[in-house]
Amino acid sequence: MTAADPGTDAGQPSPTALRFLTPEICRIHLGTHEALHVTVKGERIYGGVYAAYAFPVAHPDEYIALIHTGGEEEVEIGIIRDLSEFPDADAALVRQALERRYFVHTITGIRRVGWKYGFVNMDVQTDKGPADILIPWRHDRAFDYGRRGKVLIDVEGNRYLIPDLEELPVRQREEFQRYIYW
Amino acid sequence: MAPSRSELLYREVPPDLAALVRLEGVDPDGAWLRTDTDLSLAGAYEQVFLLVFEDRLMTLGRPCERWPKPVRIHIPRGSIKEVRTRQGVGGGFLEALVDGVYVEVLSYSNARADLFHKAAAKLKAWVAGLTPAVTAEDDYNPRKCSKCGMTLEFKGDICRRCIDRGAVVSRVIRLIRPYAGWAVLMIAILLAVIGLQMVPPRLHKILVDQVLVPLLEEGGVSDAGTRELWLLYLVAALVGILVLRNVLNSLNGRLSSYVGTQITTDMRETVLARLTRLSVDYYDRHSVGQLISRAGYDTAVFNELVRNVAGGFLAQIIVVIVTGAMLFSISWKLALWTLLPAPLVILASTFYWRRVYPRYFRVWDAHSRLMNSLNSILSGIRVVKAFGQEKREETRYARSNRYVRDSARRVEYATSIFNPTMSMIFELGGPIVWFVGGRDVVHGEGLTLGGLMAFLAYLGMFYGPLAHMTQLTDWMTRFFTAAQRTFEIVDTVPQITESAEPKRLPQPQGAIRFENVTFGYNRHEPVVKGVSFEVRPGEHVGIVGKSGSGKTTLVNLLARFYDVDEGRVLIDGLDVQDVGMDDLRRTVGVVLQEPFLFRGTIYANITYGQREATAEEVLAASKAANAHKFIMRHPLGYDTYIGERGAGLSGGERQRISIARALLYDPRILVLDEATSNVDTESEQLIQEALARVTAGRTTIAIAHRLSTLKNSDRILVIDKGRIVEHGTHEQLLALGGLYHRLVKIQTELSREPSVDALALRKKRP
Repeated sequence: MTAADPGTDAGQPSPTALRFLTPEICRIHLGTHEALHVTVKGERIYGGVYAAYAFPVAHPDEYIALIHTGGEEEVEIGIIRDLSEFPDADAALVRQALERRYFVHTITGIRRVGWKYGFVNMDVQTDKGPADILIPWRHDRAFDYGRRGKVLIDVEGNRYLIPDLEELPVRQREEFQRYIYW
Repeated sequence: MAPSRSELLYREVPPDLAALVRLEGVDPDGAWLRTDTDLSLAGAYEQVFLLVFEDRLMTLGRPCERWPKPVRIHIPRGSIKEVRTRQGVGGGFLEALVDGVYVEVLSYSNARADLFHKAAAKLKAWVAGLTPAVTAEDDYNPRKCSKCGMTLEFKGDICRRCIDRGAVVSRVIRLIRPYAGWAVLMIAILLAVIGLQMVPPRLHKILVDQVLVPLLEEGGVSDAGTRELWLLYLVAALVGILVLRNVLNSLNGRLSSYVGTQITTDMRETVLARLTRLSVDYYDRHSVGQLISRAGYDTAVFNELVRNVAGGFLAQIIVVIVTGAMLFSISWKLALWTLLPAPLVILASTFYWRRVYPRYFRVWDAHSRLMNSLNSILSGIRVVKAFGQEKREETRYARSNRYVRDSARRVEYATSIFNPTMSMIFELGGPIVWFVGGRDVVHGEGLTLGGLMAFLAYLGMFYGPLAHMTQLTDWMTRFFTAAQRTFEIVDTVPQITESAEPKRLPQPQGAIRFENVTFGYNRHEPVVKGVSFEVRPGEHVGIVGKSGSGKTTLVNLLARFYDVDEGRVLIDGLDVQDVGMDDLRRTVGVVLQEPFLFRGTIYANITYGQREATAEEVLAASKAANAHKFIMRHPLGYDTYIGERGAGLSGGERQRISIARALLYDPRILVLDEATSNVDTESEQLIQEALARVTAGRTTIAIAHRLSTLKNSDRILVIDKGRIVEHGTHEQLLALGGLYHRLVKIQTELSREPSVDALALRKKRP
């Protein structure tokens, strides 16, 4: 079975074959209670679908998996190679699904960084508004996002993203790297 | 008295929103569950309410462009077949199964995850036709600090924000109390040393003013002979002070080392004693590296504390105070002048410790990355060569190397400015004193030449400690943090504790019963769901299932590495939670997939659980475990020293030693958890032969992914997604044509290696 092969097995996508979803073979729409649905031509309608990035850092608008969560096991319907190939309405639904799944604050500015008793306390400006965050001072709570970015996870488990440290003003970057130096 | 209502699951709907929904004919007061989330289904921060009535659920939000009406989702109970939570990234969703489709009811950030896991559990019961109670008990969340509400890393963790610093100090004092006498002696010596340090400048003053430059009118020593004698006395006194000061310093260093290392040693042993008593779940939440750091390095701060009491910060504080007093006693006017650079010293030092010093972290991190990079290249050199990636690895190494260079430059550039600046500030006091003090000496305005020289000597003692004192807060922060991290371990209560009145299992029969057992490592995500089964004494039961189906969890519950969330696990009719730990451990023996051997001799490893075993018993157990033959091939036999984790032995040999160890331990119930999965087929056959001998007459539960190894079991349980889906003998299950049949078919088709059965057949052939 090749990558282009629909890869279905008795009406279900094969778990071992890679299938790319294109506008020619599928339609993305809303169904019951605005749940995301995907209709694959000649196969079936998948209701209750979510979208997940395969390469959120390297290819943020490409290689998006659509996953059906109907039973106890999740089934990957297929992968969208390039979202821009889809009609605007379909693409917008996928982007909304991604926004819902990835609840990440993007840090646009750092006002203050402090350290106390094993926590880094940061007063930051994010795309979702200002935030005062508390991060355990550990490597696993601040890890690399690509070559130049960082993902921070606060005590609540909320995620904060600095896509590119180099884009922060020098003073803010130095303040940040005083504590998150790794 | 009725239990009080939950504040989290029975929240008041804000009056403006309540008024809006009343216009839609909905009375929020009629809901039995009312709670709010912090996100809208568009993934933006917004307060959205979930209301659950007897017959329906709905979500409410303030009208907006996307949702013009306050009621956003409305689903009758009858159309909901299931409710669940689904984890997203940084948050999650509460979903309902409607018309065969899971629809998102609401989304929440991770801050609300625990709340909605709890709500989902209530909703599951509601979907099943019940109306669960929502009481204040539901508000208890062991993952939140009861004082400040901060989310803790795991349930029962200590809130670092609410650490009682006073309590840390009093615990440190309690720790030092057994050495109080030594501590008093150290402080007394310290004071004596500082006192002696203050004397030489005073002697210099006498030496200059009264001996070297005698001023007769001010009562100086007149004739040369007497002056020479005074010179001798004063020099002798200086030498005496020098010697005495050094003797006392050595003594104090020795005392502080004795006390400091002893306290650290005591603390390390206390920490390890606690670590060995903590339940397995504690190790699920903490990495071994993190614990090593706490037990090994954090405990060292107590030694540092004693050293600081004996001669570090405490000495510096006293020196600053005493030399300051000396400066003022010689000339208050001059002393005020010399204080001019003091703020600069404090400012510059603060700058250093806040701005320059943290850059060293990057240098250390850069070095660590460089070493890791080198280690990775050299360890994997065969892979690098096989894939022809030499150039790529060189580039990666060069990148790490440049990172080291840049980090080091940043520090060194900063220190190259900072150090000369500090020297300049220190030296600035000298010219000020020479000028202002010199004028006083020249004009005879209350300061003698000796006084000026003594002043300069005290000045040298004054600035140095002042610069170091700026590190005091940093050191104290580090100390309190490390001390608290250490105390955290000592204070952690094991989740698995022995019953207050443990029941004995003196002569266990080996009967096992699981009664409707539900358990999840994360309480909201059960791995084992309502499992019930029985094993008769002496019966051999195999457990099969896919990875992650819950096989190992079952034996973890049997051995009480974890406690069940619901239901009971019984051995010989007694709940394992009521059985004494010693009896339980003696009754249940486990042979793991990865046999863990400790550094030591083979003999010590075999007798690990049975120190009193005789040499004959060890030999017999090793023979039965098919281990004797390979052990005897080693020149030192059973006295062969093996390295960390059994280094120097093959996987099969390590496993056979672990079987001998289990055999010697002689448990009534033996658990074999994938005991043969990591060994080659030939070793597997030897192990299987050994296991056949070891398990004879014992209740045995064997987990294996090579199904052929279980075909002779009395019974096989097939686990799928945390439930027993099939059970019976190998033949019965094959005939059933279900999951077991499928698994056997897959293995038969996929296996290219010769199986044990095939090997046995081959051996039988002439």
